[in-house]
Amino acid sequence: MKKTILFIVLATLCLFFKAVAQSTNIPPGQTITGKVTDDQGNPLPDATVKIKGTSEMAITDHNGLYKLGKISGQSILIASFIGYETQEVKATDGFNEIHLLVSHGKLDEVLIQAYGTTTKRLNTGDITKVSAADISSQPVSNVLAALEGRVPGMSITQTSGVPGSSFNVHIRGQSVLDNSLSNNDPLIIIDNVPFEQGIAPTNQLTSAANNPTSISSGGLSPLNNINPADIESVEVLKDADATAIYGSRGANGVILITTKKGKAGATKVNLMANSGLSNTGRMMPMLNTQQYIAMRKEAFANDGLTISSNPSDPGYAPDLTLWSTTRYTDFEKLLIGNTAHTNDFQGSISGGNINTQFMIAGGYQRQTTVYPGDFADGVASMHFSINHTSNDKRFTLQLTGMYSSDKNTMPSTDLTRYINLPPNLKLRDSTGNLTWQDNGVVYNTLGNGDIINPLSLLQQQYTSVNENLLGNLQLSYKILKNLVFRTSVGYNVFHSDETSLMPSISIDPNSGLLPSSSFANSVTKSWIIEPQLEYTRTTANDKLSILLGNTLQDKSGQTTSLYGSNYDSDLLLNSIAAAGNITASNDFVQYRYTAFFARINYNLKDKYIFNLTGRRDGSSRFAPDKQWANFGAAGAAWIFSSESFIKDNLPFLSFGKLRSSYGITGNDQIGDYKFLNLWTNTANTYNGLSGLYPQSLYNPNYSWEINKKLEIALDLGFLKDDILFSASWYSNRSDNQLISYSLPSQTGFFNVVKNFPGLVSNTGLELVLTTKNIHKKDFSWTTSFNITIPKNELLAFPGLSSSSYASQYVIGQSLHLIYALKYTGVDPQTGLYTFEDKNKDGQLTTADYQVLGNTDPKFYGGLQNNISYKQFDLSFFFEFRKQIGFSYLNQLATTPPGWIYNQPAIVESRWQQPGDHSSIQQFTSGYTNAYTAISYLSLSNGIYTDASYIRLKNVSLSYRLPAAWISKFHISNCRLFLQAQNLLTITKYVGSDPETQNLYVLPPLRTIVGGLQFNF
Amino acid sequence: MKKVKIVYLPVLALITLMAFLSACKKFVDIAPPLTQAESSTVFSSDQTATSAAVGLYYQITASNLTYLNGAITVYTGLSSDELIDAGSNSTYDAFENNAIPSNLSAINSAFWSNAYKYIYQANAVIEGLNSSATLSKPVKDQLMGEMLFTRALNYFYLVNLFGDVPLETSTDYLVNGSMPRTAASKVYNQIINDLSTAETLLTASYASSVNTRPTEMAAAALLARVYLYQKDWINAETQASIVINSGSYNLETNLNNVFLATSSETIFQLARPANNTAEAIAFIPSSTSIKPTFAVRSSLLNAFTSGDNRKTSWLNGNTVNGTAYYYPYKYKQRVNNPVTEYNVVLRLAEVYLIRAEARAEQNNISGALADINLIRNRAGLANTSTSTSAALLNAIAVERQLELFAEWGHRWLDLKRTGAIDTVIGTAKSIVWKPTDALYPIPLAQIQLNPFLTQNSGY
Repeated sequence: MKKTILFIVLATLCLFFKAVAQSTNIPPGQTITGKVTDDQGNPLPDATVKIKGTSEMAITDHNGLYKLGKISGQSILIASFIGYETQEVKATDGFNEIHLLVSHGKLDEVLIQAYGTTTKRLNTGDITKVSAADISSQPVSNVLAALEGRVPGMSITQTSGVPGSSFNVHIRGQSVLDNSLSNNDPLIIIDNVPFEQGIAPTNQLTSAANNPTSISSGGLSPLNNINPADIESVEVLKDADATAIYGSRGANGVILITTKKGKAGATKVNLMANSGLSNTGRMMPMLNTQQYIAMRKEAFANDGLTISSNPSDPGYAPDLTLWSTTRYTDFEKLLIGNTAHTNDFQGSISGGNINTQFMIAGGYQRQTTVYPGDFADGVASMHFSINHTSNDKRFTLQLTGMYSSDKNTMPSTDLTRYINLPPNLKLRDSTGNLTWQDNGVVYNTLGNGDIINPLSLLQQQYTSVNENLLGNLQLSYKILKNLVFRTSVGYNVFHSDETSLMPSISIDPNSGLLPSSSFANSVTKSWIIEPQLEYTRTTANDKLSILLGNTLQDKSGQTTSLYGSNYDSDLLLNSIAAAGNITASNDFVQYRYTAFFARINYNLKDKYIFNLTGRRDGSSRFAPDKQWANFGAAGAAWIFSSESFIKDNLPFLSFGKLRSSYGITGNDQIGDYKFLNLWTNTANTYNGLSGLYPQSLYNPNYSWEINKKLEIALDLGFLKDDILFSASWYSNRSDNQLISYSLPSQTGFFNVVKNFPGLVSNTGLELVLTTKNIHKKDFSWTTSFNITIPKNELLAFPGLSSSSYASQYVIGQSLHLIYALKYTGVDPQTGLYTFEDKNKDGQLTTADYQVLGNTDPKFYGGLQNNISYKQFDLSFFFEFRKQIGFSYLNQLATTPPGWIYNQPAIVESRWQQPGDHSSIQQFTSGYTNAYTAISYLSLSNGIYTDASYIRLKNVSLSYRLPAAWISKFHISNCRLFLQAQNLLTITKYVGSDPETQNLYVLPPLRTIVGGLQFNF
Repeated sequence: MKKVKIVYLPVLALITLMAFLSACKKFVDIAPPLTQAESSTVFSSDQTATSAAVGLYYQITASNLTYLNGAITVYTGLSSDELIDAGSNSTYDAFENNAIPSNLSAINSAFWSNAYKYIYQANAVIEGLNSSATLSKPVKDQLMGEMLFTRALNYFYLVNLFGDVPLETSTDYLVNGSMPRTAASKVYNQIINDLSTAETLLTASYASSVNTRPTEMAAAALLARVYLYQKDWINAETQASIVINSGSYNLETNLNNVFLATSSETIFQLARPANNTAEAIAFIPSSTSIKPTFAVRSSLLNAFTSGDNRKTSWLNGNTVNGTAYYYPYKYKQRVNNPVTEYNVVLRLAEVYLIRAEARAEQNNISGALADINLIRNRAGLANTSTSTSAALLNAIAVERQLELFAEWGHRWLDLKRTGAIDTVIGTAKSIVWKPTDALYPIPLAQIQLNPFLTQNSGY
């Protein structure tokens, strides 16, 4: 018995040792073979396999196969590939097949960079990625709306709530004050093709999307033509290391948009439909008729005037004596109180095999407006992509294309402008027709001449049809094992067609105008060719990659506009031939750009990474001897968490990286032909002779502007990267910026293209914290928080005091400073606004101006929470911003409370008698001391207020139907969802909306939609 | 072998790309724009140079109620004792009450900015003409004369409305942008020089008979006015006589024809391609049952004596709610078709009145009477009964008020130059009149952009 047991034990031990011996039974110096594949068994070419602790390494071929020598019994193989989790396995003497899993860690997910890809772990530059998941949870039509508050360093503000309206985008600060004069927009690249329309408004004619108090602001956004559902990811490139390779185009940051591509595997069909409602967000309530009448009576009493119905009397008040004092129209409700409907349908088919993958997608999105009347914005779009790799994996092809058409109808003016009409204004006469007078008093003779019948604007229809076609073909061929030749060819056409009609029923008969129509047309075409050569050399310890490339780009644009006036009737208003008088103009521009660029990237042991980029640019926008310039950057990163002394002493630190970059970028977004002295045709002839007039001031001496960017950043990961923290400090200096330099009108013009002599600095701190709070089987909760603390400063400006900016800028302060009279409150004795007379000379002039803060955001950012519990997913996103902005008083300077205009109800708390303490001065009816005081108010800091806000920007709740229910119908995924945008705003702001900061502009809308999504 | 290849290929690639690039240098040289003309080509041929000059007239008449297209007539009419704002428009009230805030946008846009825009184009054409070697002498002289005249016309009104103003004679924005206000006397000297030179360069008439471009006589007529304002009576009379004795112009006997495009009295007028005058649109109400925007003051109505046909021909009235509101009716065409009236800048009647005043100041009573009676007789009045120099000057002043009312600011400028403004406005209007109100404020926005500009006192 004992012997048997002993024998069995020994035999088992022998077997065991044999097994062990077998696995270690590789003679030292042996060569092994193997394959690296993904979790589906597909081979991964160009993956790296190393022997741990030695310098032996191999790269897999196009079949994923590799051969490694010098294996010993204890060898451990480390296999890695970009975007996949690195695996360590023990070497065996058989065939070593290693399976890699796609990395779900944020540090290793693929980041698109200029001309290539990288990961957050190995990147030396500053790139933030927003993925499709974050975009698709938002019911928006413009991708910029989906990015608000999510990218540190990128400040996005909506200009209006009108569908299709434009956004202001600034990456790391704004270098010049007035956006309507100079271009500070980032470069937008979609699938390797620069989107030439960019962020600039597409419309030539005025529409409701333009700011009614300043029509050069606002407009229609070209990015409305890009379907957010087609976007796979948006990468925002911010620092010099990431953007210098774009040379003169990268100064204001770069936004890379990548569309969805097909994936190998079974053919998948995806369908989504949602529908919902929108209404106007935050607005200020206005006075009703009773309160308005009382205000007017008090105003005249304050001025010591008797109310009269005689226009020659100073107390002339037709609204009190000649009009009905009981009629009441709530103009806010009438003009912008409608509920808008929104619908969205999207579908896509994708599939493919190892060699070829495809995707075809299409969609239609439509939203109506909050105006009364039949206006809507509908976008139809389609998108496709084809990827192909040859069998030997040497040749790859990628073809992507998109087409979309956006038809937008709206009134030609934002109706929000007219919420201040007197509430007892008569709109229709006894026969039901629109009227512009009441009891002999013609509206346009009153006030500032802007009292109209707002219903007439509903007949002045503006239509814009924008079409966008974009295609990109990328071919690459692996000439040698280390050398790849790649070329990217892209084409983009953007076409805009506008019509704006003014029929007779919309015209005030007292104005003497006849019906008129405007037509405008513009086409922008651009093509780009970028041949590149990339060399990579990988050894066990290091990886060197060199990229050389060339860019050739041509853009041509044509605009035509026709204005037909003096129509006889409304019948043929759409035909230009029916006009009594036609004026027309057209314009043609061409822009050519070429560059040579290079990047050298050296990665030592995945611990020390160096990156050098350079570019030489030539642009047709400069005079012949000033066309060329050089740009470049250097970046470096040290992943100190891979150092042994960190790994031993700080085990909780799973990732730590210190990186820095410095470089020079440029800007040529100043318009074409500005260096020529040009004369252009007058709109019409003079007595039969054609006329010319000078187009602009002549300045051939402007040259490239230089932007120097410095960044230092620290990225940390704790608890196996469950907590990721990143802090970046940046400092950008702009010298010699090209702007439309403001001039006094005695020069004949209002501005000239010139290099701004000031040195502007934008510095800031960006912090991002992402945490996986709970991660269990049925319940998970992740949070992501980002905050940017920016600072803008004018460092130097030689000759400031004798320039046209002398009363606008102060050295050492922000460009957006409040340099004005100091507002000292309403005097309790006189009831007038008072201001500080700093130099005590008895007058209020520019000599009394003081620096009183600035309108830069003190900080801004967002907080995202994603919670999922079994089949439910809930995500909500807060956007916050701390800033000072314009209050409603900014709009009241020309319509003081007491004049023949309605006012926000807040004026009820005005000063009425000596001894009252109030923040609103006494009512007045004309040009009195009170009018002077309110004129000074607009030159003081009294029109600014706290415009900070926290906005619940997005809430998305979805329920995934259990697989058991849906699998019978061959549906792989079915999801019901509810999404809301701009649901709630928490703010102390005194005005309509703290983002648009203008009482007469439609604020961002609140939207709620519900829908479902199927995957087959 | 492999090693060499690895090093060799990137180098080869570099060379290829650099070669590619150097061939591309020409790639960024683009053709000049198709829809605009470069300055040197504009002034190389007679035809295009004429377009550059004529384009200025188009610009002047392009928009209503701008500097030389109605704004002077309307706004100075309100400022003086001619017009009242029948509604309660804040801009019009500001002028009517002589309480104009310096940030009033009409001052900035309608007056100041427009004036300097036109001055810039005049200077640009003058510079272009001077630098061109290929234009024919007659055309070059003609255009130069026209531009000097137009520049003088702009500065005349600027200096009379604002006082000292920056005097710019070039297009260089570096000089113009920081130029302070030049003394009015220097501006006047420039005006006189420009008009005198224009007079020698321009010819007496045109091929077309509608006088829509300045001629030698236009320069003389304006020069006569300038000399009168400068109290240079001898030169004023000389220039006026040049115009009158040329025989090219005659007073229209029918008052209703004086302001038609075909009037024989017009020395210079500005044409519009598809619209009648800005004054007609501003003054004539759109229907007979509503109040006009601008009503004539009772003091002006009462100044007409009975039998004066100007009261019936050049004024019209609407009765609303039992009250009659009169408005200027010199231009009678409001709607856009047909175009029968142009913006009359200079007409013979004014020249007669200038000569009458110049003669009266020189004590040439009979000569003065001859001129003033022509105007009076044309208006249906008998000869004046005054005989002394002082009484005659009074009569001439009254005649100017009645003949030239609501026309190019004559009343406002006459009150200022004769020093009568303080008393007249003080009595005619029930507002607090300060002598500093005689000048308009320099636009605040421009003072903020040009720290070398100073504001007029009282603002």
